[in-house]
This record gives sequence, C-alpha cells and structure tokens, in this order.
Amino acid sequence: MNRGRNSRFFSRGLFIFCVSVYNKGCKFDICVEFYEMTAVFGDGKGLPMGPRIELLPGVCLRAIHTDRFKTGCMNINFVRPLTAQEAPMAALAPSVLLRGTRRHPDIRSISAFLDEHYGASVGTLTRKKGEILTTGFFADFPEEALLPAGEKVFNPVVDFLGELLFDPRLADGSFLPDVFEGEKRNLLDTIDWRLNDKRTYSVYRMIKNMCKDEAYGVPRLGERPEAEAITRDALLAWYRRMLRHSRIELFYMGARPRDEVAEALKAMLSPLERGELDPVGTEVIRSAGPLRQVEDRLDVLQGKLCIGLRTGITGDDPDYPALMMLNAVFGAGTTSKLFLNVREKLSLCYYASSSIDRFKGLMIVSSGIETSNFERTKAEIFRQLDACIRGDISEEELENARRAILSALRASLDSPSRMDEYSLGCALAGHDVSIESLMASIRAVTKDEVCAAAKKLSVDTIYFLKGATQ
Amino acid sequence: MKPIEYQRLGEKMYRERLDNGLRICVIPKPGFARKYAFFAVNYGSIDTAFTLDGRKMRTPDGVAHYLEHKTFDTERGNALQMFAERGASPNAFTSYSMTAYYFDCTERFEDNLRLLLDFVSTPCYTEESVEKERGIIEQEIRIYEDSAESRVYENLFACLYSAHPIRVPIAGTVESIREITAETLNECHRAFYALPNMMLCVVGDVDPETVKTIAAALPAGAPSVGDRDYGPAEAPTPDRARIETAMEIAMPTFAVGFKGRPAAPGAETMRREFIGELAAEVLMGEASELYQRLYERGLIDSGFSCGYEGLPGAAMLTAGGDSRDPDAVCAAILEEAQRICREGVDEALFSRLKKSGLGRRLRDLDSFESICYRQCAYAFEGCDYYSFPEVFEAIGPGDVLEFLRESVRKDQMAVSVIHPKGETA
Repeated sequence: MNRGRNSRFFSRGLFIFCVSVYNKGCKFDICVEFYEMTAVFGDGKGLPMGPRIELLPGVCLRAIHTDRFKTGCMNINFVRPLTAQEAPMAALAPSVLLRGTRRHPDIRSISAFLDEHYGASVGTLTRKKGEILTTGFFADFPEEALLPAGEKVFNPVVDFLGELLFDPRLADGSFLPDVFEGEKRNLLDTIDWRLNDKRTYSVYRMIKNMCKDEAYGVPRLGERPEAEAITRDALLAWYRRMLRHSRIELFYMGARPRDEVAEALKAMLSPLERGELDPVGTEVIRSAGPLRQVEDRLDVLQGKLCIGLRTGITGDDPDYPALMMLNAVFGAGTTSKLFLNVREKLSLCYYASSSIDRFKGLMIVSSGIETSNFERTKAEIFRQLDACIRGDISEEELENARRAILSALRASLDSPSRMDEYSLGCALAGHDVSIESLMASIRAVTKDEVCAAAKKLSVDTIYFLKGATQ
Repeated sequence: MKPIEYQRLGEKMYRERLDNGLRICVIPKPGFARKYAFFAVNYGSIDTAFTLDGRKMRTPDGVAHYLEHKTFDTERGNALQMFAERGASPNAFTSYSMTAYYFDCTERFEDNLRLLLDFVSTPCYTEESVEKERGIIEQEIRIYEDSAESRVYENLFACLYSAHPIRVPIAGTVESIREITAETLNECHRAFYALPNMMLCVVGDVDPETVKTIAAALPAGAPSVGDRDYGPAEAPTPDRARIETAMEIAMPTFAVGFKGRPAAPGAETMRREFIGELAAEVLMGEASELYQRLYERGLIDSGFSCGYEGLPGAAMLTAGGDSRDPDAVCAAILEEAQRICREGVDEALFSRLKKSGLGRRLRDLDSFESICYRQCAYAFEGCDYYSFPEVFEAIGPGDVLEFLRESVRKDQMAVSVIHPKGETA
C-alpha cells in the first residue's frame, strides 16, 4: 500500500499500455532479480555509498549523500525471521499503521499532509530475502532545493514516519476495529490476487512445492489460514514486541549530509526501546533430492513452465561471481542460451529466462508456452543447461554475459532503488564487498569456473501450469 | 548547438531539427555513469489506415508492434546481440501512438548510438524471418489475453469507441497478425520510419555536438505518410455502455471510462491532459472525500487508480481496480461528480493538489526513461515538455469544474467488468 502516489496519476496516460520487444523478467513475489547482485560493499573506505553506521543498538543506517537527484528517499526495515505466522503479521501491521496516526487520523489527512509537501509519498515495504523477512515503510520526496525558498519537506516527512511507528491511532488500547478488519480483508485479497498474474503464480506454486518443508516455502505475504487467524490484539502485541526485538536497517539517499540524516533519524527513533534481538538466517540446501514433478490446470490460454534448481552456491561463497556469470550465459538477458534458442530459434515463447536467489541458493527458470509444447520446451531448456555443464560456451557468450553484468553493476550507482536493494542485501549477508571488488571478481571468472558452477546445479522441481489445449 | 536553460527545473537542454529532417534533443546529466538514447517513431498501433504515395492503405491490426519486433533484424544478424557485444542493453516498445527503440549503456556510447540509428532506419525483412516471429508474438499476445489487467481496459476502450482504432489491442490478435507479410512491414516502414516523423532523445553525461554529428550522418528522408485516418467522427456517447466477461482471477476487476472531447492538436493537448488529471484527482484521487469513503466501505483497495487518457481523436477519464461491487463504485463516482458540479471544487484540496502535482512532475525528471518518452510524446503532439510548470500552474478550479461538467456524465460512461470464473477441474 502506498499513500500519496496514485499509481497512474503521472504515468502519462496510455504509456502504461505498451508492449515491449522482450520482457526483462517480472517482479516475482519472491526476491529474485534479473542480475542478482546483492553481494556487496566493503569496509566503507573510499566507496561512493559510504559505511553503515550504528545509530542505536541493533539499528544501522546507510546514508548515501548525492545531489544528482531531484528526489530524496529513505526507508526503515525491521528484520524478522520468515515464518508462516510472522509473514502475514509483517504484511498487515504497516498497512494498519498507514491508516492513521493521532495527528493524521485518516487517509484524507495523510494524503493532505503528503500533497502539502509537494507530493511526498510514504508506503509500506515488505521484502523477502532468503528466509529473512523485512517489513517497514519507505518515503520519497522532492529535494528542497527545487522548491520555493523556505519550504521544508525532509524533517516533516521524518516526523511523520515517527508518528506512524510510535503514535498510531488507537481506541481503547487497540487498533480501530473497522481499520483492522478492512486491512485484513485487503491482505486476504492480495494473497488471493496471486492467481491473477499467471507468471508470478507459477513461480509461487513451484516454490511452494519445492520448499514445502523449508521456511522459504512461505510466500512474502504469508498464506490465508494464518492471515485469517490474526486478531486485533494479537497484531498489536506482535507489533510492540517486534519494535523491541528486531534488528533495524535504515537507508537514505539524497542531498542531506550524512550526520544530519543520522541525527534526524535518531531523534525520530527516540521512543524506541531495545531488547534482545531475534536471530535471523537462511538454511541452505545445497543439492536436490529426488525430482519432484507438479502440474496444475487452469482455464488459461498460455501454459507456464517453471523449473526450480538448487545452485549449491550462495552470495557468501567464493564461486558466487561464477554463478552470476552462469545465470547470464544460460538464461538472463537477450544473449542467453534460453533467449537465443527457446525463443529466437524455436519460436516457442515470448519469454524464457532464469534468475537466482543468492540467499537461498536457488535458480528459477520460467517460460510461457503453448500447453502442447511442454515436452519440447522442457527438453530444449535441459539441452541448453547441459551445454553449460559440458562447457559448450563460446567466447562470445561468455564475454556478452560479462559485459552485461559489469554494465548493470556500474549503472546501479545511478539508481537509488538498486543502491537500496544492494545495501540491504549486504547488511543481511553480514559483510560488505565493494561494487569495485565484485566487478573485479566478475572480470576474473573463467569459462571453466562457469562450467564448474553449472555442474553444481541440481534440478529439484519441474512445475507446469497447464492451460487449455488449442 | 546552444543550450536552453530551465532554471526552475535545474535542467539544460539542446534541441534542434537537423537538415535531414530528424529532431534531436540532448539533456546532459553530468556525473551519471548511465547513458540512455531513445529513438521514437510517431507511429503507434492506432495508425492502421493512412495515405501513402496518394494511395489509401488499410493495414492489419498489430502491424506497428510486429514491425517493432522485426526491425531488430539486420543484414549482420539480430541487433539485440550487436548491442550486447557493445555492452548495451536495448529494448523497444509499441504503444497506441508511438514506437520507440532505446538502449542503456555505460561504455561505447557512440558505437551504440550509431547502431541504434542505423538498425531502426534500415529495414531488413524476409518472408522467412517474418514467419518465424509469428510464434513468438502469438505467445506474447496470449500473455495479454490471460492478463485481466490488460483485458479489462481493452474491453473498456472497445465499449467506449465505435470506430476509433483504440478499440483494438496494441499487439493485435492472433488472427489479425496472420495477415502480416514482409511486404506489409516494408510499406509501413517506408510510410512511418522517415526522419521527419521521428525523434532522437539522449540523456546522460554526453557531448551534444557528438550526438548531433552522428545523427546528422543519417541520409535525409522525405516525409512519406500522408493523412492518418482514425475512422468517422465519434458520437459523444459510447458504442455500448457495458461489457462483462469471466477469467481465472480471484475477485472481480473493473474499469470505468467517461468519453470526452479530444483535445485540439498542439499546446492544448498538454493543458487538456493536466486538467483531466486534476479532475480525476479532485473527484476520486487518494486525497478526495470519495476515495476515503469507498476505501473505508471496502469497495476499493489501494490498487484503485484513476486518470486521463488522450490520443489523437480520443480522450477519456478512466478509473479502475478490484472491487466486490463495481457498480456501486461507478454510481458513487457519478453522484460525487454531480455534487462537485453543483457545489464547486474544494479550493483547499485543489491548491494542495497543485503543489503535489508540481512536485511529482519535477521528480519525473530523475527518470531518463520518462524524460525521453515525454520529450518525444509531447513533441509529436506539438507541445514542449519542459513548459509543463507554466502550463500546470495556469490551471484553475474553474477549468476542472468545466471538464467534470462536460465529461463525467452518465450517458458518456461505459463499464468493463471481469468476473472470476467458477472452480475449474
């Protein structure tokens, strides 16, 4: 949910209705990225993004100072273990909080506050990183230098975040019944909504089967039964406990000097009480057991094939850069084997791509096809995988992959959202690797190392969402 | 080239129409690693009927999009791969009124720019390659057909308009694209991909003179396309008031549209768009009374959105999202519009929306993609994108009121609903 940013208000009308020559991978309900490159920053020396600073016990801030943008942004993330019980709580709590504070008691007064501050926006932010869940809020706002002299935005927005966190609108010591019920219904609808986007749905169903005995099998927003069971009092109790016992990661990118940001956020967090922090982590299963094959059927025009593999390599391993290269050679982008063969050569699909999760050590291959082409497509995907394992990778394929990753890494410095993902990934991994050193590792990866990474892959689950046969 | 300084925006722009007919626009962004080039054609899915060499042409639905896919073919192979060799990531899109090709890179910018200009202006289609693409595009069309979000708006446009080609989905249909041949693509390329009908926009830490020199090397093109035909004049009322269908989704989704008067070409299109957007916000945006009421009653959720859409020959106010009772939402929108028309626009709300609208439009300038798209889209419509602060500021509550009175009326309304299908085997 997000306030102050109607999704279409400034999309320039029909621009949303356009179709591209190829699809760069969609937003899954899990955190896999096109080039998963959340490996990350060093000891903070000489890096453009600067170090993480500890503001309070277990509360860290990464503040990146830049005056290149007209928008400043920040977010606050409470770090939780991913469990079936916690996921829907973590999704619901910020949505309920964003319905009103004591000073801004309803949607209209919150919207009025944001409009008054030149279209600042504030929204809920829930992410799944391996078996770690983060929940909280983001805010973005115009830089004050652009506004009429004397107009303030940064401090009021920080104060508002403080209100959301520590001064919710309560009645008789609990959330308002209507607000709670309304947001709970919205959460249940959003959980059900997974069905609407068939590509996301197929990935969700695949992971559900592949990781049914692992915390990773819990989707970002949780599932219906646990969400239905949440009560008003339980949610508030969970929220208060969470404030006390969660590690907190803060991110800021904008024109304010770092110490000013640190001071403002520290003041905002002054009501925070700290207790012992709940541990978080991800269990990694390095190779697959017996092959699982799962099929669903829906009355849709296009079937969705989704294959889950264990990579045996996570972002902490020295061969992670080789896995990034393998992913690019095999299935990410327009020079990959999947794009060139499954799509361009055989015309079987519009998209066939792979992505990796660095925390959990997974690779996911996904493609939308004619239902009758299931066997053919599956065989071709495995043929291409086999080529990677055999080392049938041309110099050109290797170098195209390298160039694409290096370019994406370089460009990430220009993107606040990339930097945010990057920073959080590194905070959760518990150690920093600079972009420069990651780039150096990518430059050094050899074909043999890519091939060795491919040999570590093991196929876990083949999922097919069957459509109507034409 | 001399820059134009926009002090309020904190931006600088170089702009020129070259001797070969191409319009170029360069926006320097010092200190950024990314360089972004966007090559746009004033040609979209609605341009299916037009005059070429004095001859009236009627082309199959979906041809602009098909052409976009096939333009990547060159004599030396697929341009996607050639960009990859140069470290760039390219892509393209087709909308109702534009086709655009672009790339993003951090190195070898000049090589990549030459490649972009070259592959887009040089057609290279064979019957075999056109045939091969059909399977890929069919699967792409299936994705849109399986997407309730696309379908609900496509159905709405088909209800609102009786003849305007916005009635047809951008990519066409699996049936309509079967008629497309290499010959069709060649003719459409010749008609529309002529430099006077195109524009290049570059954003990043680049030298404007270099961009100009590279673009000026393209051979001059003669304007080819004559009149474009969007069908007979539309009645102010919709073709039909309602369409319902069922899909594999979790809860009903809907879109409502109010057919409006299309803006006159030129500067008026931008003004009209801003008025329409503000009208939508005043009536049912997040800060409105109506939004809060509908949200609290559980009739809409945070996915609800509203806005104005304008195209040559078409204009409408739309709103949509998921709802258990779409008809209750539509009735409430109409009723609220009538109330505002009677009682006037809330001045305090209006002035806050003006502030927030300006702030957000300024922030759009952080996005290279958005800058290029808007520069080209507004230029094709005959207006200057960077004039937006002045145009936006000049709009008053009276403009919005007039727009609501004229557009948000029951007899101009159409509703599109998609229901969940029953349980399937």
